[in-house]
Amino acid sequence: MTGQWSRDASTPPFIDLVPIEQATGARKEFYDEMERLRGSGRVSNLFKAYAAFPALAKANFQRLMVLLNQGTLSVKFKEALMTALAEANKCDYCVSFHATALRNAGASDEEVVAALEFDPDRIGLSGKEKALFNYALKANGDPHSIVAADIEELRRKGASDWDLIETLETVNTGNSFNLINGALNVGPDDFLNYMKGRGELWKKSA
Amino acid sequence: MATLSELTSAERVDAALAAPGLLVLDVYVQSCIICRRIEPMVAAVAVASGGAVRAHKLDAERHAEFAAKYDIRGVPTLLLFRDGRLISRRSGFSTATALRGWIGANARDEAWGRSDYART
Repeated sequence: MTGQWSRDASTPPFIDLVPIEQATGARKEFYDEMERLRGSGRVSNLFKAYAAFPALAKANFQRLMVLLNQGTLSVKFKEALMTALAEANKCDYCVSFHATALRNAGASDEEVVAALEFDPDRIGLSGKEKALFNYALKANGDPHSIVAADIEELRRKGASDWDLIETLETVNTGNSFNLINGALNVGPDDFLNYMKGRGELWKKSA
Repeated sequence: MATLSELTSAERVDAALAAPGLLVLDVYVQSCIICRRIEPMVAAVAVASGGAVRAHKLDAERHAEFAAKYDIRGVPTLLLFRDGRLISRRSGFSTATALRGWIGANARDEAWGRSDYART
C-alpha cells in the first residue's frame, strides 16, 4: 500500500514481524489466542510487532477487545474517531484499517470522508456521539484546553462518566497503535482488503 | 489532504494576501506540538470548503517581521483574512468543527453561504 505519508514501500518494517508458522513460546501462545478470537491467519502486523514483548501484546489486545466489546458507545463512533485520529497522526496503514472497519460498521463512503475531514455532523452519529467526537479531538489536540463548559455541554447531550472514559480510551488506543505502526514502519496486513488512497475505492473486509 | 502548503517567502505571503476571498494563515513554529495537531484540522476545513476557504501555514520564526506586524504572541495563532484584510484571529488548539463555526461566524458572504459548510 502506498499513501500520502508512507515511507517508500520497499522499506521493510523496523522490527521482526515473525510469521505465524515461525512463532514459538509466549509469542505463539499470543498468536494462538488472536487466531482463536479473530480466525485462522488473522494476526495483524501491529500485533506481530507488539508480540516482541508478548505480555504487552496480550495486554494491549485485551484492552482493544474490552474497548470494542464492552463499551456502550457505538462501534461506528469509535471507528470514526480512530479513523480521524489516524488521519491526524498521518498513519496511512491506520487510516486504511480503521476506514475499512468504519465501512464495515455501516458507514457510507461519504461518512468515511467526513471522518477524515474531522466532521462528526456528517457521520450519522447521535447528538451525544457528535459531541464526544469533538471532545475527543480537542482532548487529543490539547488536553489542557478542555474547560468545565465543554463537560457541561457533554452532560447536556447525555454523556456519562463511563462515556468520557470510553471516549478518551479510544483516543489513547488509537494513538498508541498509530505510534507503534509509524515508529516501526509496520505495513498493511495481507489478509485484509483496504481502501485505496483516500476513498475512491472501498473494499469489504472482515 | 491533512497538510498545509507553507508560505516560505515574503513574496508568497504577499501573493496569498493579495488574492481575493477567505484565507486562513496558520502561524506556527517548528517546536510547537499543538501546532502540528491543529494543522490537519485547518487543512481539512479548507479542503471541505470546496474552495471557499484557502489555508496556508507560516513559520513565525522565519517571518519575524510578519509576526511583529500581526502581533503574534503565541502559537498556534490562526489569522482569518478576507480579501487581504484581517477579520479575526484565534490562538491555541481548535477542532475542525470549532474552526468551521469561527470562519462561518466571521465571514458570512455569498461564497461561504453557497458552501456545504455554512452550517453555523
